[in-house]
Amino acid sequence: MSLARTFHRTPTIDALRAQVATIEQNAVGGRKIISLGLSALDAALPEGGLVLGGVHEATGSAAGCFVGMVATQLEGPVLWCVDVDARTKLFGPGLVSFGLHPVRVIVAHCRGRTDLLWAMEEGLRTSALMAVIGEPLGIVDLIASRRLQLAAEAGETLGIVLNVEKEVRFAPSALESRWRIDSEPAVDLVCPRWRVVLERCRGGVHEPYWIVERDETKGHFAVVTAFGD
Amino acid sequence: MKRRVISLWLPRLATNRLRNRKQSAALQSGQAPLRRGYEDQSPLIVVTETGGRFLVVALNYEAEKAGLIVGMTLPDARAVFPAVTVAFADPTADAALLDRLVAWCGRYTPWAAAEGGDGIFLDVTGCAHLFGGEAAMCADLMARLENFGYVTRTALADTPGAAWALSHFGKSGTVVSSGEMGDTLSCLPVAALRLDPGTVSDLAQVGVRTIGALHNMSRASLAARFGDVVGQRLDQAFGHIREPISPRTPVVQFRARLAFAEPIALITDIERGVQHLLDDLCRKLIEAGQGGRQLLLILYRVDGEVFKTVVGAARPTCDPTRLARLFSGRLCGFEPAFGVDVMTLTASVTEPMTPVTPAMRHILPPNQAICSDGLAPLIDCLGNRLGFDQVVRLTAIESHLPERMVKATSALDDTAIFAWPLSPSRPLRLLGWPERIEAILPEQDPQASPLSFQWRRTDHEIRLSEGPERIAPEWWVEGDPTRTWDYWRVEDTMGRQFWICRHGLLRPGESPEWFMHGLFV
Repeated sequence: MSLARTFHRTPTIDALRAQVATIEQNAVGGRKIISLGLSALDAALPEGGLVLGGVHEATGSAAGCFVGMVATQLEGPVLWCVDVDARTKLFGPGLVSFGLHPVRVIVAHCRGRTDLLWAMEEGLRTSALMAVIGEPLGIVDLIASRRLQLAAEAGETLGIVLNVEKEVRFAPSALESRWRIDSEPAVDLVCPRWRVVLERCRGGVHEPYWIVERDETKGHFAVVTAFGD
Repeated sequence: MKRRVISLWLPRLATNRLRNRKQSAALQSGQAPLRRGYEDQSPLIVVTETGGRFLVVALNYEAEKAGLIVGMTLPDARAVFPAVTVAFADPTADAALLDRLVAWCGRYTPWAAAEGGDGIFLDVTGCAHLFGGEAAMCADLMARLENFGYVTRTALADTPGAAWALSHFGKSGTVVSSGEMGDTLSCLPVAALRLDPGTVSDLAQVGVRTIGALHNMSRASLAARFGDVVGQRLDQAFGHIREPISPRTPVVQFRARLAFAEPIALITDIERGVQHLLDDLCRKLIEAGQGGRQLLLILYRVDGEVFKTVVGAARPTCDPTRLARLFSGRLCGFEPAFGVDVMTLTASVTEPMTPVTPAMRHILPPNQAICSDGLAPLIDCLGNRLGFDQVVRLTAIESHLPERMVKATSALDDTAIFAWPLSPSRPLRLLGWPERIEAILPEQDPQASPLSFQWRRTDHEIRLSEGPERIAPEWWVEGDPTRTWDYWRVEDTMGRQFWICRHGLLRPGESPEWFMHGLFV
C-alpha cells in the first residue's frame, strides 16, 4: 500500500528535511495534523496527515470529493466561500448525503475573487472554525496563496481551495499540498470512484495516486488500488 | 436639568443658497474666488408664479435696501430697480439645504429639528459646557454659518416659543438666563408668538400690540374672541405647557462625542479618534448591560460636510477592539479635505446582553450544533463587507421540489430548524437554472433512462443509471401541474455523475424535455 512512501526516503534526505523544517520554524510534529481517514493517503504525506494550520488545494473535475474526505474527519463549523457568479450552487440535501451536515456549514456568497480570498483569509484566522473551503474562479496566484497560508498558520485552521481550472497544474503556489481528483468509472452508482493524485506536497513524495471509492450507504471512503510513481 | 433651546433663523436662506452656489461654481471652474465680504452684492430676488402673476418670495439685503419687498409682483420690482437679478423659487432645494443644515447641527446636539421653511430648533440642554458656555455656543454657531455664507439670527431661551420670538424679533445672539424670560418677552410684538397675520391685526385693532399686554388680559375673553391658539402660544412661550421638538433622527441613549481644538486630517488620527469613541461608548453600554447591534459614526468636516457610516453586528456586542475592526475598512472612502473637528458615535440599535437562547440548542443534532458565540466576530466581519444576507446557513423547507427545499437563513440563527429529511441520494450542487440537454432514448423502451445525452456541446454516454424518481409539482404554486418531473442519477463513461430530469411524459401529443439539474461532486 505505502509503496510510494518508501520511494525517496533516505536518512540523509530526512535529516535535511528536518533541518529545513527547523529553519522554517515549524518543526515536524509541532503542528497539528488530521488524518484523511485513509492510511495509504496519510502515509504519502510527510507529517502523516493533513497539516491543520495550512491550506490545501484540490483540482480536477471532482475536486469536491476532497472536502468529503476531510469532512468525515472533522467536527465543528466550516466556512464555505462561493462566488455569486458560479454556475452551480450548494444544495442542502446534497450536503447531507455528502457527509457534511448543513448545520455546520456557513456559506459566504462573495462578489468576485478579491472578496472571496479576503473572506477565506478572515475565516482562516478564526480559530472557532474547523475548516475554510473556497472556490475562487481562476487561479490562486503565489501572493494570494502565501497570504492564505499565513492566515491558516495564524488561526490553526484547515483551508481547502477548490479549483477546476486546467492550467492550475503548473501555477506556482505557496500552499501545503495540491491534489488532483478526477472521476473514475464506478461499479455501482452509490459507490462513486475517483482517481486521487497528490500532485505536489511540501516535503512529500512525487505524484503517488490512488483509486478511492466512497460507499454512500455507509458514508466512508476506501482505497481500491494504490499506485506509485 | 432645565430645558434650553436655541432657535436658529436663516432669514435669507433662498438667496444665500443661490449666491453660495454661484460662489462654489466659480471656485470649481478655476476662477479667482471672491473674498468673503466682497461677493456679488447686486440685488437678487426670488419669484414664484401664483395665479398667473410672479410674486417676490425672497430677496437679499441689497434688494431690500433698493426698496423691494416680499409680496410685490415682478413688474413692480423691475419698475423700482430695473437691473435686479431674478431667480425662480426652488422649494425642494431649499428644503434639502435646510435638511443638510439640520444634519450639520448634529455637531452641537443630536436633538435638532427643522422649524418652518427657514428655521432650526436645537435642544441644547446640557450641551453648552462643551462649547464654553451658552453665549459662546451661540456665537460659534453663528460664526460658522456666516462663514459658510448664510445670514443667521439666533436666540437661546428656556422654551422653543421664547427662543423663536427672540430670534425673529429680538436682538440676534440673545441668551436669556434660565427663568428670566418674562421681561424680555413682554416688550416684543404679538407677532413674535407665531400667530397668523389675521390674528395679529385683530389684536392690534383692540389695542394689544405687545406680548406683555396680551399676557395681562383675561384668558377667558381671549379664548372667546380668538380661540385657543393665542392662549396656547402664550403658554408655550412662557413654558407653562411643553412644546416638543421632534428630532431629525431618533434620539439615542448611547452616544459618544469627540471634538478637536484643531481639525485633524490624517486617517490614522481619525482612526485613533474612533477607537477613543468606541472605548467611551462601550463603557456606557457595559454599565447599562446593553450591547450594540448597529453603530453610526458621524464625522463633521470643517467645511460643513457630514460623513456618515454605519456598521452592523450579528450579535449585540460591547467589545471596542472588535467594533474597531468593523470600522477600519469604512474610513477608506472618506476624504478628510481640510480636516474633521467633531466626531460622534451613536449606538443606534442596542439589545440587552443576554446569553443566546440555550433552550433552542437541543433542536440541533447533538454533535453538530455549532458554537455560534465564537463565530459572531467572523460573521460580523464578513457581513459588513459582503452583506448580512450573503453569509448564511442552509435550512430545509417542507417541499419536495429541489429548487424550493433550501432556504438561506442568517448564519447565527440558532433557532432555525436544521432537520433535513432523509432523502435519497442528492447531488452536492444544483445548477443555478436547469439546462436543457439533448437525450437519446433507447428505441425499444423509450420510458427508460437515456442512452446518452449532449450537455454544453459535449456528449456523455451513460454507463449506469438509477431512476426514475418522480417529483410531482406542487399544484398550489403556479405552473403547469400536470407536467411531472422524473429524475435520474446517471454516470457517464468517465465516471462523472449527473442528476438529469425529464419534464413531462412521453405520450401521444406530448414530447418531454430533458434537463441537467445537478452535479454529484
